[in-house]
Amino acid sequence: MNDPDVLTVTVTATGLAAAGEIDTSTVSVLTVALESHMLDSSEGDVVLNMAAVEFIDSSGLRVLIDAHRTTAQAGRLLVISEPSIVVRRLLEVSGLHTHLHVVP
Amino acid sequence: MWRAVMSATGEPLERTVVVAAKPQSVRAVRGLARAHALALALTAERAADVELAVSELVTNAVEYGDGTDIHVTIVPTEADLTVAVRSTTDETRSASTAAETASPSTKLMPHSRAGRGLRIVASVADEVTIASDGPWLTVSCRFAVRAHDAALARTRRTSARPRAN
Repeated sequence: MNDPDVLTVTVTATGLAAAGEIDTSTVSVLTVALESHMLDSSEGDVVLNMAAVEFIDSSGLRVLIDAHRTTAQAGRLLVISEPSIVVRRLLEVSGLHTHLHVVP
Repeated sequence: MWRAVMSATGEPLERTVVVAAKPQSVRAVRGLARAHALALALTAERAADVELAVSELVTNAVEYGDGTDIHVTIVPTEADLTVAVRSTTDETRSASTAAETASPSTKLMPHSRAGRGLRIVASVADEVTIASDGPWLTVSCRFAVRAHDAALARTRRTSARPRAN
C-alpha cells in the first residue's frame, strides 16, 4: 500500500511533477501517473519535473526506464526536467544520465 | 525489534533492527541509516549515498527473500560506517550470483531493468561484501570517514561547544 504523503505526482501545465520519496513502496504512484498521462496526451514530449524529489532508488529508475522505452516506441520523448540532487546522483552512478533525456 | 551492543562506556558499538520483509520497511531502515551517517559526521552527500545503498539492499531483501524478517545491523566506528543486511534468499540469488551482478565487469545493458540495485551500491560504497550461510545472504556495505568528513565533524563539535562566560 502506498503512503500518499510520501510521494505525490501532480499534473502541471507542462506535464507532470513528482514530489517526495520514490522507492519500492511508493513507486506505483509514479507508474500510474506516467501511464495515465501518456494515455491522456497522445502526442508530444512527456515532461516529468523531478525538482522536488527528495529520494529515489533503482525502483524509480526502473519506472523511468520503462517510460523512456514506452514513449520512444510511440515516437515520443520522456523528458526529465530539473532533476534534484538525489535524482542527478542516481542517474550518474547508474550511468543512465547519458541515455535518458535530462534537462536542467 | 532493536538490539544494541554497548561499549564499556555505554556507547553503542552496533545496532541491529529486525524488520518485516515488506516494502514499507525500506523507508524506515534507510532513514535510520541516514541518521547514523549524519551522527558519524559524514557529509550530507555521503549520508545520502548511505541512504541510497541501504534502500537498495533492503529492497533486494524484500523482493528476493521468502518473507522471513530482515536483519539490518549498523556498525559505526571512528573510521567508517558499515551496514549489513541479512535475509533469506532463494537458490537463484546466491552470494556468487549477487557478487557477479555487483561487479563492474558484468555488463548491464543501458536500459536493463534488472541487477541495478547491487551495482548502485557498489558504485557509492567504499566496499561491498557478500556472504551466504545456508539460506541466509548477508550483504554489507562500508562507508569510510574521509578527511573532509572528519574536518566537518570537528567543526560541528566546535560549533556545538557551549561558550564560556
